[in-house]
Amino acid sequence: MITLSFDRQIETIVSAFPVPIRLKAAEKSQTPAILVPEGTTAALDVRLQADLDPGVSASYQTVFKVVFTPTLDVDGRMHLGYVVTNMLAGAVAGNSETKDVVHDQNLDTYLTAAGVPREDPLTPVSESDDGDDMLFGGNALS
Amino acid sequence: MPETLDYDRPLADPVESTPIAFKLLLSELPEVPAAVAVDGTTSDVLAYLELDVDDDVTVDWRSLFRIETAQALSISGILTLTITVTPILGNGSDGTPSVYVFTHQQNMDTIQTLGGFPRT
Repeated sequence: MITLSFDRQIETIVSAFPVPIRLKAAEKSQTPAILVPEGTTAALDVRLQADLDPGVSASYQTVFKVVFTPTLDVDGRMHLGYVVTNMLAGAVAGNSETKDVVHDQNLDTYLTAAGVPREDPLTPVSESDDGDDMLFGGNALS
Repeated sequence: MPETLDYDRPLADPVESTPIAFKLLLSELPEVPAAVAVDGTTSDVLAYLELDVDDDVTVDWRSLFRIETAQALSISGILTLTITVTPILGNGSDGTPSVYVFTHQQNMDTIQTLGGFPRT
C-alpha cells in the first residue's frame, strides 16, 4: 500500500486528501489477493515465462516483463503507467514500450460518485460580538 | 498446470506442432516476482488497484483500475501480449479501457534457438 495525496477543494479551502492505494493480483483463474501484506509501492511486476524445451525437461525463460506503476498528478487524476519489455536469451532486455493510462475521473469526482462528497459548506462555530473574529470549521480567520 | 499454446515449428522435415508452456510470476515491487498460483491454468494476469475512499479511521476499499493480460502464440510462432487497463469509476462501473497489443521482436522459433533449443 502506498498513500498518495491530492488537494481537494472544500468550498474556499483546499485540503490535502490522503489516498491510500493497495494492489491485489492473481493469475486469472484465481481470486486477486494482496501479494505483500506490508507492501509499500502498489507497483506490479509481471514476468511471463515460456518453456523452451517442450520435451521431458522444463527450461523456462522470461519472454515478457511488465511493470505497472500508479501515480497521481497535480490535478488529482490517477494514472497507471506501465513499461512492457521483450526479454531475450540470457535475460537481456529487448525492445520496450511505455504507456500511460489516465483515469476517466478526477479523484474528487471519483470520491463524490463513490459516496464520499466534499464536506458540507463550512458553518460558523462561534462568532464574536464585534465580528472581527470568526471561526469556520475550527480555523480562525482574521 | 500452466497454459500451453502450440505453434508450427519448421523442422528439417516436416513442420512440427510445438507446444509451449507458459508460467506467470508476480510481485509487488520491490519484491522478487514469484509464482502465485500452483495450479494456475491461464498464465494471464488479473489485478486491481484499490483505494481507500474513507480518509477517516475506518477503511472502505474501492477498485480504481483493473489490469488484465493475455498472451497468444500464432501458428507461425508470433508471440504477443495483450494488456488491458480499465479505469473503474466511482460508481463501480467500467470507464474507458485501454488495450495494447505488444508483439515480441523475435519469433518463437528464434527464441527457442537462441535459448539453447535449436530445431532438431
